[in-house]
Order: sequence, then C-alpha cells, then structure tokens
Amino acid sequence: MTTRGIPGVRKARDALPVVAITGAGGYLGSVLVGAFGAAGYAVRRLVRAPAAGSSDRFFDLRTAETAGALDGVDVLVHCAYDMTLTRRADIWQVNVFGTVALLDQAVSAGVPRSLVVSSMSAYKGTRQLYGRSKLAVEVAARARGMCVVRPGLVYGSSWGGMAGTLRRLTALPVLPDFGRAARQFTVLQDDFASAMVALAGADSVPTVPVGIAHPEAVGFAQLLSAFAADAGRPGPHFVPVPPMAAYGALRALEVLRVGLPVRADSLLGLARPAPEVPNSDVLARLGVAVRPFSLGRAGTARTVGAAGTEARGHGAGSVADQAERLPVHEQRHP
Amino acid sequence: MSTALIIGSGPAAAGAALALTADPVQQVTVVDVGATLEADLDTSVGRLAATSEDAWSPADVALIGRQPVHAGRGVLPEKRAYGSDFPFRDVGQLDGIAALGDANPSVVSGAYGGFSNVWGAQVMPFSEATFDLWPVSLGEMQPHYRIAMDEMTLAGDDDDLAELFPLFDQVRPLPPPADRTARVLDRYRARRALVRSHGVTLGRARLAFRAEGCTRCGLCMTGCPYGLIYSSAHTFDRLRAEKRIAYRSGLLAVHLEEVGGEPRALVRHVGTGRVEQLAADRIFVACGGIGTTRLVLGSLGRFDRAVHLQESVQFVVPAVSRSPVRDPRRTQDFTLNQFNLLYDATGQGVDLCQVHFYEYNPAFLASLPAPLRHPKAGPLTGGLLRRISVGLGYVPGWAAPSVEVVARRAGEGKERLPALEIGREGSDRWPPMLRDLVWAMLRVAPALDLWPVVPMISLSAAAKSYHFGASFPHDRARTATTTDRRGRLAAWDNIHLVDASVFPVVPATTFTLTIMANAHRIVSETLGAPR
Repeated sequence: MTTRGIPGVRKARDALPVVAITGAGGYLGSVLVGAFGAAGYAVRRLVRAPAAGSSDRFFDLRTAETAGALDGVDVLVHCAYDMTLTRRADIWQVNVFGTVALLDQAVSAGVPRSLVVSSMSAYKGTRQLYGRSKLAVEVAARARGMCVVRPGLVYGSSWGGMAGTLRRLTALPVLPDFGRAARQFTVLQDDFASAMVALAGADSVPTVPVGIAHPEAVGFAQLLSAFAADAGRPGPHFVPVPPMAAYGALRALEVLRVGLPVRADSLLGLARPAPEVPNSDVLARLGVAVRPFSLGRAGTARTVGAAGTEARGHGAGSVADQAERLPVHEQRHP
Repeated sequence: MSTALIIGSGPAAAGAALALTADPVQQVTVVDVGATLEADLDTSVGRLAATSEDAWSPADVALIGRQPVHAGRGVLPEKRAYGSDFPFRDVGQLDGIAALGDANPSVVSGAYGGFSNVWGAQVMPFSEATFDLWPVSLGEMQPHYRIAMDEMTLAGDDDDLAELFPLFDQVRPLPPPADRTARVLDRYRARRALVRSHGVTLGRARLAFRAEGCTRCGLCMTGCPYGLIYSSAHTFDRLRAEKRIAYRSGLLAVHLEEVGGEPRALVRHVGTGRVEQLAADRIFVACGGIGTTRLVLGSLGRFDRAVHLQESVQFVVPAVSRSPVRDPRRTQDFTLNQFNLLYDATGQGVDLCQVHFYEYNPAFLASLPAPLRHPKAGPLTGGLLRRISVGLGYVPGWAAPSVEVVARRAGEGKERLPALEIGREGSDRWPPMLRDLVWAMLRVAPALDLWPVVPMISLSAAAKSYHFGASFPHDRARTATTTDRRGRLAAWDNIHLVDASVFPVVPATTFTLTIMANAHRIVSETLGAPR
C-alpha cells in the first residue's frame, strides 16, 4: 500500500480548520457535521438549500458549481449522492460527472485534503449501478490523490440512510429472506464519524480505498430482526425470495414509475455484498476501532461519542441534534 | 568511465540508451542483429520523402505501399514495412523456434528498431491502478514516461481517456479525424453519461507520430514516407549520429554469464557464425519478451520446463454503422488507429479491455470476399465501405490464456541459443472478459451507431499480439524467476533485463511506451545506485 504525502491539516494559531461537507443534509453528512464540529473544525455545509444567514453554501451535484465555496477549506468531505435517480444515464451524469467536477474544483481551490465517501457496494465484480458509479468516483478521486472511504451499512440512533429504510421496512408483515449470501458489513455511525475525523487529520492518507466497517458480516435476516427489535416490533416473518426475482419485480415497478421504498439497484447491493472490508488496517494504525454490530450501543439510551469514547447522551443522537442547529454559523467547537 | 552493453535495438533498448547516454561517464555499446530495409526500397522511400505528394512516382508508391500478407486463417495479415518483411525476417534469431498449433513463430525481430518498424504507434501509460500490481508506482514512473513520450512525440487529444491515462501535458494535436470517427465521437459526447455507465469510454487515438508533418497520404499502415511514425531506430540513428553510442550490427546474443561479478555476453556473427565474447560493467538485455526469455533460460540452463508469459491477447472486431459516411476511398485521412474504445470490466481502472478502431485503408478492400471486389459489385462494396470500421482489441494478460514456452537444450556449450517451443496454455475460446466487452459494445451500439459484427469477431493465435511478457516479473525480491526493480535475477548482479520480460503484468492498454519508460527507469535507478 502506498501513501501520498498530503500533509495533515495545519492552520495558523487561533484559526480553526475548515471542513466543507457536501450532502450535509443527508444522514451521513449530518452525522459528520456533528462529529467534525465536536472535533474542533469549523464546518461549512454545502447543501442545496442553504439556510439564510448561515455559513451554508449552495451546492448541487446536478450543476456541481461551488462558486468559491471551497475557498479556504482545509478538508472537503464529499458525501452527496442523489439517490432519487433511477435511470442509469442520469445517475452517471449527476453522481459521477458531478463528483468529478467537484473534485476538480477542490484541486483548483487548493483544498489540501479531500475525503470521498464511496460505499462497500463498490467492489470488484459488482453489478450494482450504485456500486459501479461509486467505483468510477473512486478512480477519479484516486487520480487526484484523494482519499476514498467505503463505509459499510451505517446504523445508529439517527436511523437514516439504508439502515433507516430497512428499519422502517420491518413494519411490514412479511420480509424477504435472500439467503445466506445476503449479508452486510456494518459500522456504528459514531465509529464512522471517528474514522472520518481521524483521516481528515492524518499526516498522510492511503491511495487505496479504506473500508470503514467491522470485518464480521451480519446476515440480512439477522439485521432485520435486530432492527425490528430495536423498533419495538415483534420478530418479523421471513419468506425465502430469490434476490434476482425480487430485483426484476422492483425494476419493473420502477419502469412503471411506481414509488418504492427501496430501489431495485439497492437490492442488488443487499443481496450481493462485498466479500470483505478493504484495507481496514489503515484505521487501526490511526487508532480507530470499529465495533461489531450491536444495537445495544446504537440506541439513544446508550451511545458512543464522536471521539470514540462511550458517553451517555452524547452520541449519535446528539450528533444529529447538532446538525439541526448548524445553519446558523460555520460551526466552531468551543 | 563505465562501460555498458545494450543487447537489442527495440523500444526497451532505446529507453535504456536514452538513460545511459544522459550519463557522460557511460561508454555505451549496442549489439544487434540489425536487419534493415532493402536498398532498392530504401531508395524509393528516399525519393518519396524528398518530394511532395503530388510529385510522387506511382511506381515508388506501389513498391512501398505493398499490403499486408495473408498469414493464416483467422489471423491478421502480416504487415509490411515499406514493402519489406525485414521486421519479421529470420536472419538467425528465429533458428530453433517452433510454434505449436497455430502459434505465431515470428516472435523475435532481427530488425534494427525491432517490431517498432511495424507497430500501430498507439501509446498510453498504464493506469495508476495497474501499478498496484507492480512494485513501482505511477508516480515513480512518471518522469520516465515523460522522457519516453518526448522521444516518441505524442499526438492525441485531452479527452476522457486522460482520466485513466494521463497525458503529462506533452500532447500535440492529431490530424482531423476521419468522417466515421468524427461521427462516433460526436455521438459519444452527446450520450456520454449513458455510454460511461456501461463501463465504456471513448477517446481519440494517442499516437507516437509527428502529426504536424502529416499530409494524410494514407500510407501509414505500410510505412510513412516521411518517417513521421516513431520507430526506436530513430532514437538509435540520432544517438549514432551524435556519436553517443557505438553500434554493432550482425550480432546475435547467445549466452549471458557473470564471472567474478563481471557480466559477459557471447554473441554470434550472423554472417560468419563466429562467436565473440563481450564484457562490460553492466549489460542491459532488451531482446523482446520472448527473445530475452529464451536467452536467459539457455544461459541459466533451465531446460524442459514450461515458462508462462502473460499475453494481452488480441482480437479483431469488425463494426458496422447504420448511417453512411462519404466513400472513404475518395477522402484523405491518416490510416493509423483513429479512436479507442476502452471497457472497464470491473470499474476499478485495472481490468481494462481496449479496442483501437481503424477507418478505411486499402487492406479493408483486400480482405473483403472476392465477389465484393468484383467491379460489378461496386455500389454494394461502396455502401459497405461507407459503413465499416475495424477494431483491433486486446484483453489483459491476466484475463487471457498465457503463452507457454519451453526451452530445449540445442547442444553442448554456450554458443547456441536453446531451441524454443511456443504454444498457448489454455483454450482458444473467448476469455470471459471478451464476452463482457462484446455485451457492453452491444449495449452502447445504439448510442454510438457502432455495431460489432459478433460472428466475425476472431481471437488471434498465441503470441500474435506481440504484447507478451512477465516471464521474469519485477517483485519485491529477486529470485530464480523474479527480478528486482532493476531487472536483476538472483543469478546475476550486473545483468539487467529491461524489456517486457520483467513486467509484473501485461495489461491490454498498449505497452510499448511503458516498455521504453520502464527500461529508462531501470537504467536510471541502476546508475543512481551503488554497484
């Protein structure tokens, strides 16, 4: 594994390092907004709807125009991804070409460190369009000397993203069982945030994708059962379903423009996961531990803080709360 | 002063020579079989080069414009260089080489400039991800790529291909594209997101030629009369004229050894059979992937054991378009590769298949079925030529059958190269990655109006691509079968292998530029390191 000599964030005395976060209104982005704020960064949210009077700046992947929003930024964290798109050309146009344009602007603006959020769905051999688009983003990021991270299924008390969707689906009377091959690598949202903060401040970052997930995969049915229990629901009833049949059905409904809680493409990622967590040793060297799947630590009653230390009431829930308060100023940690 | 001996005159040798001659303390000698163009053809080329195209003698044009020669069923015809077969001719270097099945027996060139006399001139660096499979990074290669590109003179466009294959700011503009190429690339730009989402990227050719001098005479494929297409012979011509190297032709290296740390080469005079021993402080071996493998196996006495070389297997893919362009026989275009289609099988910038598309040249007409060449078939033939392109594609060496070579002892003593058997390990069926590529081409065909004629896709025979190597790959440590970063096997301290034999992998992107750059890197690192 090689590393690039990108220096860690070094600011003049009294100046806080500035992190710009795209997709800051989304699940992962809002988690990171809180974590970076807690770690002493001034946080600049790059969002489609900036709050008036805040330090938010407008950014939309569809146009990918930053218009000076990256000036003075020490760390760019790129989380934005438009999950509403289903046509492959649209996905590529917005999420891949938009990202490439953003990364070029980061280079032009002299941003010293960029962390590009990819996905564990991006792995050699994936047929998932989401995974393929993330791989394309990874190649572009790497060509620009940027750090790519592949988070696993991020879960925590904020319950957003795919984990949140799956948790909501446990309200259904019957759930699909895609077999033993369907499994996920998971990461608690606070561990994810800790890893990102550590990578932002590291003296050098690797040129290979860094997986942020516990190396022990969790079965899909086990995940859903745990999510149901966490939501206070009875154990779900599972029905064996061939993944490709389910994919075909969902895809047909998408073509018919029927609104769905899960995209057909996402189902591929659930049914055909990555074989392993790549380069997880990088995090170990940075002193970041990723804990195994357990909802006992994810709930709001007992969570883990952004710095990785256990703290009651100062974990994922409070991170999300901080995100809600952010639009007022570039957030500065006291 | 230090003495250095280079064996060979192909692109690897040129890369080594460039690095060595940059060091004023090096006395450089190049030994080479050194076959050259016949005198009468050379005279014709000289006459054409001295005049403008409108003053060319038709007899001279016919003489040097001889079309490729049929080389067997289902394989590409063998090219001619200025009407001559001298790059392929056996002047002793092919003695004892036996091709099994339909494998290509002409795997070692005895020509001055080697196979770069007949190459397609397509040049690209390897992708950054490809170097993950090497103990050398793209960053470490970059200065050497720059020097090689500067020597070759690169013409191309800064297009989507640059995302994976950096241009290093050294590109000059290409001549205007042929009609079909322009149309395909226009459609690609208009539907780029869709095409890219299928893993397909298009871009113009990247060519090692001095495009600014191109008159679009259409003779690229049989030899540019103005010598605009790079050959490593150009580098050696210059170094010889500047008296920076001593060049000795007519010599075939037959044995290597080190005695007390001093490297020695036994060379045989191809004219007389006399054997001579040459010694130097260092020897750089650049006989080509199979030529070097044979020389090393014989020198180290490794007989009767199969050695596998990766080959970026070649295939031919004809393509048709629904919308016609002007009759290409009545237009003037350069006839080298016009555009590239790149397919990223796994989306990581490493499992790449590449297809070089060629637009019309007279070989198209010659390869049509006889009825279509009949004058009465004129309208039909014209309609076809207005719609066809031909792609020459490559699959990465790690995703394709390998070339298997076995050295056999050819007698006692050191004065003979071993006999060599060449065959293909594995089946002749399409590699899975080629099937994936064809599917991808079919998916993007409506967007590009470029439809692969699937039944006519043909896989070339073993070793026919000329993109083979990795018999003694660079590795972290040098052993009996692997070389260190400086191309040294465990058996030798001062004999360096510098050609594709030391490539850890052979990707499908063209590899001549990397051969030259890597040879330059090996020599540069060697000169910068203590003995």
